[in-house]
Amino acid sequence: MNNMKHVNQDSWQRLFSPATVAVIGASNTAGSWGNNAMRGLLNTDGRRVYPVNPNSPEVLGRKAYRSVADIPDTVDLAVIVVAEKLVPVVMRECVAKGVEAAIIITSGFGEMGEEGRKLEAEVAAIARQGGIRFIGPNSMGHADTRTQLSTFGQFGEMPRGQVAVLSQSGSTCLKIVRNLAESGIALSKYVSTGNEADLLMEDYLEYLASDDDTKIIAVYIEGLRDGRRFFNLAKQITPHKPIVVVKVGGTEESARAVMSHTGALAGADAIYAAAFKQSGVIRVEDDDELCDVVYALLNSPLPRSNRVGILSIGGGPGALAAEACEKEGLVIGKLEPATITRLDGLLSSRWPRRNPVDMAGPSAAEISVVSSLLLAMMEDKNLDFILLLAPIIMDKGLLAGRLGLGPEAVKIYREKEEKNIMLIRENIEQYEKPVVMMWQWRGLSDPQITSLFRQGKFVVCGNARSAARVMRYLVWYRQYLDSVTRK
Amino acid sequence: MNTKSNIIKDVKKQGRDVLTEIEAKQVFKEAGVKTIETRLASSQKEALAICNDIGFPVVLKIASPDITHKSDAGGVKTGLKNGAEVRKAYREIIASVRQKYPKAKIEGVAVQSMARPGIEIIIGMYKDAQFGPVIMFGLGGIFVEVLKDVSFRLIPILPRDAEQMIKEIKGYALLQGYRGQQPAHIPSLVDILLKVSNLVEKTPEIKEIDLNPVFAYKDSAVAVDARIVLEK
Repeated sequence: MNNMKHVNQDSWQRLFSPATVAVIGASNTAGSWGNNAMRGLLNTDGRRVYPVNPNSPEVLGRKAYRSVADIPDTVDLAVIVVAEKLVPVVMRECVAKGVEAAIIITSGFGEMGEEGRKLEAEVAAIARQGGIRFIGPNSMGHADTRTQLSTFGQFGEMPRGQVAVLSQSGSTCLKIVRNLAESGIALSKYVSTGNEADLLMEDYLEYLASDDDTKIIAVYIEGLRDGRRFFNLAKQITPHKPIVVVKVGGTEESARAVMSHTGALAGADAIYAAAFKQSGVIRVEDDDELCDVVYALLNSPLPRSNRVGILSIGGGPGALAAEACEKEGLVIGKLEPATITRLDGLLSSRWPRRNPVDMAGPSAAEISVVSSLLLAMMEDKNLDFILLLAPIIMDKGLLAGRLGLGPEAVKIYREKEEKNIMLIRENIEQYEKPVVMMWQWRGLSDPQITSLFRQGKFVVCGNARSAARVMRYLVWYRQYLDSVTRK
Repeated sequence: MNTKSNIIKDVKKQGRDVLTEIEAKQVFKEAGVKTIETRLASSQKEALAICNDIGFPVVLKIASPDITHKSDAGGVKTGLKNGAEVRKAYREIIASVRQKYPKAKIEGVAVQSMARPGIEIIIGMYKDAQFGPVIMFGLGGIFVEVLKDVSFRLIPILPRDAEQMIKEIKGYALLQGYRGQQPAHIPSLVDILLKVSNLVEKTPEIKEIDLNPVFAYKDSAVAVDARIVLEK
């Protein structure tokens, strides 16, 4: 592949860290796009923001300009939220002003049929001739947590993180962002790419490949313009940064005239699936899985292979987990004799002496016992990762209620738990064996638990099926990486 | 002898997009893919001479650049065991094609040895609008017709891609020798996939390929029929 970038670095600089922004169509009407975008951009002080609105002398207390031409400053980024019919005029004014980067939030373009497509082509032509690169139209916004820039109309400080989200659907973009935030995962950048009349999914991917803030790229795709370019980029990126993709609309058959058997057999989705596999892209089924896999990739090492150890507080959860794992093609590992001997010393004589390891009753679910069992299983050479179906941190409510501990005693108890967690983490890292916590999802009354799991490098999954699927994806990715490095 | 690039050039010069089976097999032979050799006979006499050369049993197929679906035209006769059968088959093929496609240009009849039966495989290539050239692997016969049990990769492929796409099909167990059947020689199949990938990479004029069927044996694999469609 050649090294020529399709979009130069200056354009990205203007898009993600502009010093000056014009909001064309800024509005005083609460809840409108022009109001949201304006308020979101005023979130930080480090940026000069100019509202443009010919019908109002000021917007949100800022002097408003009749046209972008009247702004007495250079404009790095134009945020366009005017009615669709006005967008060509506004784009021409931006060209005249010397603007070189824009985002068009306005919808009613290519997604709305023939007339919209014409309007979109007109706007794209004006921008191309005038040297403007733009996001959208029909984008819901873009954001960069390093520069605290958001055109989504979000308020409050955005925590900095290592995950970038690219989405061809604006609402899916926000759903993914929210879902990740709930698991305590912050982002680097996120873009609702809209109709991609200028900047394409492939362009953003190329940019993120060399973006140091981004360690994982999560993508929602409806259709690519240049699949081969996506494939070539992905092949270069995935050995260093995982790409996790949800691709919908996979069942449509593109109309084409083929004379061969092969051409007739190739459904669109089969080729997308092949391209993802061949370039190391982790393709998941939906946005929930996407978030689970991103969480796992961010926290945990990749398992060496597919042999699972299951440690369960009782027989039922262990059996359910084992079945889910086998359905996903994972293998229930056979315990080493040495492990069985070690577990004999920790469990009552009733335990079944095989994997899944059933602790046979809650009396064994003392947290220190659970830790010891877990550590013994992690050292078993026949197991590549462990599913944990037992509590390892006590909920604050339980400590106070059932154990009747006062605040000081709770603190001491927590410290003990934290020590255990860090000991497990050492093993996770040393042996490259992920531990999947499936008993405690998020801290119900205790957000501290959520953050302890992250500190401990646990993978956290809500149920056996999602745990098995997440681990299958991780095993697959590990095997892909091994195969490309072996060559 | 015609080299590959010459064959394709000549076909284009004649204003055709589809290679005859004989031409296509020549291209694959030069690309290193083992094929069942097919020779053109323009008379019954020539057909018999070829049979004496290659031995019985043989298959006869109509050789016409205008006929894509040879079986439908009554243009294929298999399992011919002697000279009398070959003569009869020759007459019937010509008569049937003349009747069904009176305008078709008939070059004669293609004669090839009857391949000993093996596991039927299909290998193909076409150009996807989004991703460009892709290669396909699948079990042939009813598996491809009914179950669409095929896998794809983007060209060019590496050996590991070829191995994975073979393992990926649902019927992979059949290739490993199911219920005492002979297994298929996987390295030979990998080799064909890589050679097709290589051919396509070097020959952008090729638009579509079908090797259907390829017969896989326990120690080798051979393309029994071959088809190449060129870009317009």
